[in-house]
Amino acid sequence: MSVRLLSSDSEDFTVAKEVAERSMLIKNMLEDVGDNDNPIPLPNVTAKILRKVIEWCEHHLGDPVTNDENERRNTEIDEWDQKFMEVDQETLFDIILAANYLDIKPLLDVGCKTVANMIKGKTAEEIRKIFNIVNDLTPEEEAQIRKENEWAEDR
Amino acid sequence: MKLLQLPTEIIHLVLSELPIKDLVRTERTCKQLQWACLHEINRRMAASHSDYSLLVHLKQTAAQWQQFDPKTKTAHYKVDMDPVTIRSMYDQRRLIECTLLRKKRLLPISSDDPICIPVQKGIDSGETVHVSIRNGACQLEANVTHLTPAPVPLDRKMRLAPRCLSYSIQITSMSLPLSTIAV
Repeated sequence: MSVRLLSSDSEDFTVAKEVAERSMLIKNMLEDVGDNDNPIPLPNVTAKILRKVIEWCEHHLGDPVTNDENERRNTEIDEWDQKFMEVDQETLFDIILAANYLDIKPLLDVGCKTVANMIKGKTAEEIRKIFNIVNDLTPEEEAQIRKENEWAEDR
Repeated sequence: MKLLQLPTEIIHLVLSELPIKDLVRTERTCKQLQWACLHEINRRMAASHSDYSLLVHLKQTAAQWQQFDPKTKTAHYKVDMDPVTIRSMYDQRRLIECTLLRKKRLLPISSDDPICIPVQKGIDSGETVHVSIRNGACQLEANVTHLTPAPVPLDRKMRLAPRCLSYSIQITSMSLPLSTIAV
């Protein structure tokens, strides 16, 4: 059985029901409306991102669903997911937002872990540069934080 | 879309994936991340509120997390322990070593200088003094009481024998800097 999904930019996607049901949002919607030919509107997800999300759901279709948050979060990102997440920052953040909206927790975890890996081992200056963050701390405030956290500065 | 434009709950999810050392480094990037990192450190400490314990003279006691001070970057713990009795001959100074233990590792947290509570001359019988001791890994607050000696025995020989002094030690609180917690 298949399900139709409608992106925010009106692109229609037909996917297997099991694939679509990786999203708790869609699963709950399907349970509410029953078997229906009408497309499910997803106003917060563009076609570009929905395509990526569907690709991820298809690849992870057979994965066991774990409700143990600790187990899920302690799992390292596998090689396929690492490749999948090799996208520009804007796409990465859009995938995270889509995973959050569609309630696909394992995909949300992979996205957040990818961002965390971009931060790990970096200095404040490097983090600012990677994410284009403007430093709004005064020199005094920054000096104070640097002093408090001196022990963490050596990597 | 930029990192800081992501909803707060997602920024928190990202930060929850970072070790404390990285959180501390990220704190210096900007005000928004500074707040978010301190919030995450606080959340993490509250979640692991009973991760630490102390071994004092072979008696182990748990420390309960109370609060994290973002200004001093120190976590404060309450220690509920029954006093430990120490005997000491004459008025010699005696150092009672305390060991900080982390439950997850079941190993003492090492520091170059051991943390010791001094028991020494100068405390009157029945008097309690408050001591504050620190080393690189932690700071302890403790009460040391010179216990009132038992009545002098009637036996003449026993009366001549030197009598040991008894002290009780009760640790009341503990503070850990983030550098200890991050290890």
